[in-house]
Parts: sequence; structure tokens; C-alpha cells
Amino acid sequence: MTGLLEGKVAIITGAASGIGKATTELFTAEGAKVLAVDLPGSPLNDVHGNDANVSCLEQDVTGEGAADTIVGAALEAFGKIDILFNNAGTVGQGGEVESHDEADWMFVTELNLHSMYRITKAAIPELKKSGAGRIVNVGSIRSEFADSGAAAYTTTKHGVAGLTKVLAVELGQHGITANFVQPGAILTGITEPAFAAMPEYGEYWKNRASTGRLGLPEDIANAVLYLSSDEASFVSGIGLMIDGGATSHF
Amino acid sequence: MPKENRLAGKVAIITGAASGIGEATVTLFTQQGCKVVANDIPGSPLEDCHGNNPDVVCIAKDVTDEDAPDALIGAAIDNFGRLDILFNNAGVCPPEPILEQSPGQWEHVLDVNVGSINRLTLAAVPHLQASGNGRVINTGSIQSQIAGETLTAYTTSKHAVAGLTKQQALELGPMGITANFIQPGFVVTGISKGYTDQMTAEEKDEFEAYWANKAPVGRLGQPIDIANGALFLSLDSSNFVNGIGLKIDGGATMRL
Repeated sequence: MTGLLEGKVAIITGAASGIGKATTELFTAEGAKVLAVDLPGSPLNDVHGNDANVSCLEQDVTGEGAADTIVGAALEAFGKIDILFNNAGTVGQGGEVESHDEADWMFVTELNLHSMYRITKAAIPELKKSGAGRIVNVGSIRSEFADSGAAAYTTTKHGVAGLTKVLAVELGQHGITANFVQPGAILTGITEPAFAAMPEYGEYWKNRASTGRLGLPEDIANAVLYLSSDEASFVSGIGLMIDGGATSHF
Repeated sequence: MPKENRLAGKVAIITGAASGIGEATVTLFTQQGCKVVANDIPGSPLEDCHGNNPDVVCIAKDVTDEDAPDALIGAAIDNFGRLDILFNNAGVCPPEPILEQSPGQWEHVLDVNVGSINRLTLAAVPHLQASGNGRVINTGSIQSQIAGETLTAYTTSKHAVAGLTKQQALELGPMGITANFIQPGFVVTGISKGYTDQMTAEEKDEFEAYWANKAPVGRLGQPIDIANGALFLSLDSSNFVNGIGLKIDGGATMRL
């Protein structure tokens, strides 16, 4: 029995909870070695410390020099990089634009988009050496749709779509694909408080997805696995929607 | 999850199985532990492709025949006792400029590429529901979103596949069935050969070079690329993927 990612090395940010945690666990189960990155003070080591195929790095992706630190740590631990899963992100404070706190806008764009750009830029030389390099970025259903509030989140997730497509065009010649996943309403560390505070919000999304449930981190992890595998070498520049069908009808 | 046997215990119907994408998917699915009813039109090399595969039952039948749904679904139930995956892959792609359409062509293309999907799926629903993890996978195209020179009825039919699939996703989701469509780019298959064979050798080279260059990954698609996408959509672990078009085109159509 061999896994789909036998011999691969991946960087996964936002790895201490939710989608990043589930993906780290799935990746090592599929034979990959993973540099798992999350904030200092996050439960990163508690979550992955016992997995011999995971190296944990407590690093804020928006911190000074974070991109070089992350890429350097992956090389030091495992000697190469095949897969970069840019998963760290935040919804921010929300609120309508007119009354929105500009500091929140700066924070959300820095975390969701600028850090993604920097980490990717730093990883490209290593991904080129892989021969089957993979970039998977976390977008959202809000890479295409909008709602009232969360302007910074929506804007950055649209930005993720654009950045990913440019990366796909520029790096395809090096055997690298770039795609983004588009989770719908998923129960994760980020969203659990919101679902708990507003049960009607969870009900709305459960009903909207014709599959009749909220998404789970594992749903996204399995899609990231497909995009990261050799089996998806002709898939590039796409957004892969994983929302139970919530946004394919009115 | 190991690479092998990812579809263990599953039963699939795959139409258009005597060449290209369908042929590759039958082979991949059986390698993954699936039993398959393979279908293509009478006179196709269906038996030559799969006759020696003990996990395949071949049914030569035109998908537009009135009794095609009963014949195919009956074959799955009679031989394998269940049905989990319906891969509606049969299609035709006759080149005809919009001002030079021959009588009946439009109706024929629409019936093969869309009408048959609707009829086969309706007949399969009770069994897909009983599966608990039913899957409808329809072959769309990059032309489910954009147009292509001389492919009037084909482009229309593939846009219709997108609409039909989303409607299936919405209404069959509560029955535990997901519905998605695959959007191959230029893939080297029997159907694409029919399209390029009408060209001169020079035109064909130019056409293929155009697509290989347009795709950032720098090559044409192969049937296995699409088969792997169908495998992903068929997995139990993909049951929150619903109503989508999965584009497999090497990045060709998202760039200017």
C-alpha cells in the first residue's frame, strides 16, 4: 500500500486547526512529510507533535522575514519542497464598509493575500526543482460571490483567484500547477464561534447546500490532496468549489 | 487511503467507453476495485477494449435508443446488484459552422450530449439513492462556458450539460447523490481525432501546437487526466463537492 503523496514534501500554513490540521493529517497518512506552520501560542505542537512526519514551525506568516523562515525550515527539515498549501487566513472583524475599521482591512489583506504572495515567491525556486510542484491556495465561495460585510475577506479571496491564475500561467512551464480551493460554509476553528453565536446562520447554509450539511475540514483536505497529487498534473488555474452545491443554484 | 482500491465495492456505468476518456476511465475504475458496465454504440470496438477485463460487462447500445436506460441500468443490477456511479460520457462533436448546419444535426447532437444524460440519470436515481453515496458525473467541456469555431451544436449542448448538472445537484442532493460535470480542455481522444481529421496535416499540427502552448503546463490533455478527475469526483470523500464544473485543461482557458 502506497499513499498518493509518497516521497513528497509539503508546507502547510494555518496547520493547527480546521482545514490546515485536517490536511496535515491526511497528507502524512498519504506518505508526505509536512512542515506545519501556525502562530506562536497556537496548539500546533499539541496537534502534530506526535507525528514523526511533521515538523512544526511556530511562525506568524505576516511576521518580518516569515517567507524565508518558512521555506528555510522546510528545506532544513526535509531537503526539498513539492507542495505549498497556503491555508492561513482570517475573516477579520466583518462589518459594512462605511463603518469598517481600516486597521482590520490592513490586517486581513496582509494575512490573506500579501503573506501568500511572499511565501509563494520564496518557495518558487524550490517548487521548480520538484518537477511536479504544486501550489494550492485557500480561496472561498467569496472568491466569486459577495455578501454584506466582510469586504476585506471578500476582496482578498477574489485576489487569491487572480494571484493563483497568474502563478498557473507563469509556472506551468516548470511543471508546477497552481489552483485554489473554494470552501463553502465549513465548521472550522475560524467559523465555529460564528455558527455557535448564530444557529440560524448554520441552518441557512445547511439548507442551501443540497447535500444537507455543513462542510467539514476533511472535505477540503481531500480536495487539496487531489490537486496536490500527480493525478492532477493537467489541472491548473482553477478554483475548486467544495460547498455541497450551495452556490450552484439561486 | 492507499492509492489502490479507492472504489472497492462500487459499481459504475460508463458510457462512451470504447475510446478516449470513457475507455481510460473504465480501465482506471476497475484498477481501483470498481465493477463497470461499459457502454458504447453497436459497431464500436467496445469488446476489443474491455472484453478481457473480468470486472467489465460490455453493453453495445446507442444511448439515444428508447430502451437504453433500462438496458444499461438493468445490466448493472443484474450483473453486479447495485449502482453507485453513473458517468455520462458519451458524446458527439461534429464540426458545422453556424451558417452551414445540416438538417437534423442540431437535434442529434443535443439528444446524444444532453437528452440521453437526462434520461439515463432519471432511470438511475432509485439505485443511486440506494447506494448512499450516489454519483452522477457528466462530461461537459471547456465549451460549457466558451465557444469554439464551427462547433455550434456541440457548444450549445455542453452549456446545457452545465445547466442540467446543476439542476441535478440541487434536486438529487437530498437523496445523497452528488452531480458534477467535468470540463476537459483539448484532450487527445477519438472524438477530438474526428474533429482534427477534417483538417490538413499542417492545420492539425498548428491546432495542436496552439492548445499545447495555450495550456501553461505545455502539453495536450490525455484521457487519463480526465479519468483521474472522474475518480476524484467518485470518491466517498468527495461528497461535499456538488454542482461544480471541474475544469481539466492544463490552464488553457483561464488565460487571455
